[in-house]
Amino acid sequence: MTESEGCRVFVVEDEFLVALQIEDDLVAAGYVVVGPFTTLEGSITASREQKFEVATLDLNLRGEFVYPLVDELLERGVPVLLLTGYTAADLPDRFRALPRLAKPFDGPELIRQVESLLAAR
Amino acid sequence: MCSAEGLPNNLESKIGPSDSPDLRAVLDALPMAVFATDREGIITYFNQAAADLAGSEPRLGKDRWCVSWDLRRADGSILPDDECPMAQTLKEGRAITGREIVAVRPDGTMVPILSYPTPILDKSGMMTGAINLLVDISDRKGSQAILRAQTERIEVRDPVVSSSGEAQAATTIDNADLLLASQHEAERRLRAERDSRYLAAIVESSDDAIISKDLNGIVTSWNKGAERLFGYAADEVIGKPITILIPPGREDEESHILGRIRNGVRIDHYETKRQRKDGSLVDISLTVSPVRDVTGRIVGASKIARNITEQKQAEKTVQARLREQASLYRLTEKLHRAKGIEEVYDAALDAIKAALNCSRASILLFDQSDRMRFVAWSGLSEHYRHAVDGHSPWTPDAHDPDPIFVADVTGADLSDELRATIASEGIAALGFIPLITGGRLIGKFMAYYDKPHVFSETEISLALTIARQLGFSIQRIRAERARQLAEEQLRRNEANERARAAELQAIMEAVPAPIWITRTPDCRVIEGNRSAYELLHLPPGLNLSFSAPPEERPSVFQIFAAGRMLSADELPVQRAARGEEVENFEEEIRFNDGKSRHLLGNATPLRNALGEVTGAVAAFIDITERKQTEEALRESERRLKMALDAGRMGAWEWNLESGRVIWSPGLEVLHHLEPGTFAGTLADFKRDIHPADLPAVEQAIQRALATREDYHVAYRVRLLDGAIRWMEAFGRFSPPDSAAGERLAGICMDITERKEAEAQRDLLVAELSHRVKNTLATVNSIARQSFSTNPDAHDAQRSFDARIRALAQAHTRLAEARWSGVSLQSIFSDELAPYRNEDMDNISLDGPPTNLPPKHALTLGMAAHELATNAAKHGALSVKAGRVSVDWAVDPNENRLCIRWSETGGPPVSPPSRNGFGRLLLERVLASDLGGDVRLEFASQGLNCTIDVPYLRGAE
Repeated sequence: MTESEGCRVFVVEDEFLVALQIEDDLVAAGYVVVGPFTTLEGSITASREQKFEVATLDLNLRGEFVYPLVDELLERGVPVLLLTGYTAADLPDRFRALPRLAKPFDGPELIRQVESLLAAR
Repeated sequence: MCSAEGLPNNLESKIGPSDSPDLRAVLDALPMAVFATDREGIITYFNQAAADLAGSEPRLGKDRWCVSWDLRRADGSILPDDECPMAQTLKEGRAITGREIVAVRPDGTMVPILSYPTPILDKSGMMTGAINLLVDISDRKGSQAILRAQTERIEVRDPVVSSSGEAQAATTIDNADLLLASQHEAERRLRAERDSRYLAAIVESSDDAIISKDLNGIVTSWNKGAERLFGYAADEVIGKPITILIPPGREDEESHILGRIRNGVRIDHYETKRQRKDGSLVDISLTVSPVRDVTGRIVGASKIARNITEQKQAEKTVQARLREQASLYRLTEKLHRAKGIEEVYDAALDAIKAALNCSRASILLFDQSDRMRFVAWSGLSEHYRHAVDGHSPWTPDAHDPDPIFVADVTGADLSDELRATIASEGIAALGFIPLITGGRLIGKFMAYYDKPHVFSETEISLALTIARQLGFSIQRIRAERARQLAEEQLRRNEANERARAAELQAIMEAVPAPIWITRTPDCRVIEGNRSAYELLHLPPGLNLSFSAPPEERPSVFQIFAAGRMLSADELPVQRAARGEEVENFEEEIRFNDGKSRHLLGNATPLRNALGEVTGAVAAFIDITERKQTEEALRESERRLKMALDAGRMGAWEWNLESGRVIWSPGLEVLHHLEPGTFAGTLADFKRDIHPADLPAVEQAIQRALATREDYHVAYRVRLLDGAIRWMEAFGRFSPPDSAAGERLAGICMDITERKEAEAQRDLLVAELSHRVKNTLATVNSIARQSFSTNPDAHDAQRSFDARIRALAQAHTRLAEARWSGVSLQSIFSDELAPYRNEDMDNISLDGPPTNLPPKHALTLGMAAHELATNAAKHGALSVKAGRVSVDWAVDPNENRLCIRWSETGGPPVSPPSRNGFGRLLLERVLASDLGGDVRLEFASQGLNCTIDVPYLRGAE
């Protein structure tokens, strides 16, 4: 837990209630939440301005897929956790290997995934 | 001989019915033919001369003299018995003087004679019969000369006899006159003495040689005529033996003559030859009479010799002319009767030889190659004929050529070879006589002589006459032959025509195709062959013409073409009978029972030799089965096309041998090509295939080719307009033994819509999964918020349930509208429904119909739930008098939706002590999820909430 202390997590989620829960869980675990951002455009802009160690990304932002941001973050070496209701088959090939948490998820699972990303970093 | 002119009158007066024996003796002795008949023409008398002339003795009382001879007229025509001069005299009772007729002897020889029939009258002048005198005029000219001379002699005969008292100069007439003289002896002697001087003068001046000799043959007198005839002067021969005149070989004659004279027998007209002084021979006619002294003793002989060389010649000539004329006559007759050309040739050869006095003859005609060929010959060797075959002095186009006569081959202008050939055949002279018919030279005839021969004018004339006759006859026979051939040909042609007609009739009957035929241009009667009647189910022979009178027309069927009933004039036979060639005419025969047959055929006019239409014939084939098959095929094709069109399919075929690819029009349409413009190769097919899919297609083709299993592949094509379409193709190989070569054929479907539907489905499934899981995440979050913010677990549970129900309600509405959106009114109406009091009219909803997209509907639905729940718990709907009004408006310029929630009549409002989930939801969720602006105003009369969210009308 100590390693995660003060770590910044970039959250992209257009469903407010879901974002609220993610935020609650991350804060409860000691992380600092950057976001949540609800649009692709807003999130890309923010990702370039804000500092963060890891990102949890909803795949579908009001009909827009978050793939451009994923590509950019991977380019930058930022670990990415996909939070989505889509199955692997629905994803483009290059993203199928990424860590992914299927909605609905519970808080401890989310924290464990974020921690493992950070640890692997 | 006596004068023919004078005799009948004498007889009329001297020979009466009394028929005295004396007179008979006179008549018997006459050297001229005399016969008598009774009134009926039955012979009652004839003398020896008559029998001699006739060549046979008639039977007295039986023969009718004139009919016992075969008589001809002078022109050679037959003289009927009852028209002979004798019959005429008996019939008419008058004398006829010297009518010339020709008597034919039983041996066939002919004698030209003059006939002098004279009636015999009794005392009362009644005719009891007739007497006829016949004069032989065989040697007419010569004879007339002789007659003249003898007549002169007769006129001087009496005085000679009377003065000498010796035997008379000898003629047969003399005897008769002597008899008469004996009756008037005194008178005659007187006259004789008176005329003796004349006699001597006459003897001296006579043309005839008058010689006398003694019984030893010594010449005793020699007149001037003798001098002229024999060339000896009187003094040279008188006293010499007469034998100096006898030529070698005739020495016996004199002793014979003398022997007869001694016996008192006279010699009349003994024709012999004597030698002149110069040694030449001369033909003479000798009359020798005994000379008696006064006692009647024979003391010598008088001799009258007449130079008959000319007479002989004349006789020969007359004989020749007669022979020639007879031969011409025979020729004419034979030619006239000739049935065949061989008879013509034979008759002509006979006539040539007889008329031209040649021993051999031949006839040659030009053959078809204009070569002169022997067609008939007499007495020619095969060698000769072969050697001169084809030789002709004229070419076929020679115009009116003259005959050629070669009198002596040795001096003729001939080639040595020809001359040698002719000579070796023993021919010394020859004549070429052209045969001309219709002005054209057709050949020649030849006369050959064994000795040199000068052709006389007569012979040339005869030759030309024969040539004319022969030419005419050849032409006649040829024309006859040609006519026979033509007739035969005609008969053969007619027979052939009949045979052919019968053959055609048989063929027509046997042909398994229906045939209609009419033999008149008006088509009143049309007959059919067996097949036609069978087709029409009619008895053979029935009239099939619709142009026939109404009662004869066929009634069990009608003829249609292209679905329309045809009038009689429109029918093919009728059209052809008007001269038209009708081809590929298709008609349908509809029977009254509803059945029908389809026929396809031609009709053609029948024409006569002049080209005039005399009828028409039409032949058909029954194509009913074919039509049905075609119709079935068309139906099948139509169904296939329908199926293909409906399924957006096309058919294709790839001929593996030719490489040709065929697309159905439907497939071309699928590829956005004008029908018929697909170029037809595999490369053309591949060009449209999406590059990404081409390998898959090629692989599928290779696999199919390798395995001969069905071909199946789906691929995209890029069309000309850039559109991308999905295609799915199925193919199957044709049987390998197919005649058209091995083919891969199949169909191709446009599956773009299916592919899109599949993609849509996949999208929907993903979307559904996404939404469901998002919803679950939302529910999860609602649960945490509901339970974590409310210390009252029971109340928290109720709130959670209500919120989930509200969420479910919004989902239900969306589902009902197939997620196309929900009306704003129904969202608020649903949430406020539990609190509605109709009596109090506590709720009002007012605004334009506004459709909310799903996200708006769900979020606004939860907001409406929180507002309604709050109002029911703490606000206007917690009391009876409270009211809630919701109104909304859409600002089309700003594209915003503004909703105002107003509560009135409720308990006094104070701002909430803490921020509950409801407020969180209202303020943050709306802001976050919808980008909206929410203002809560806790006015004293009740809560006011204004929600202002972006709203793009129609964006849903």
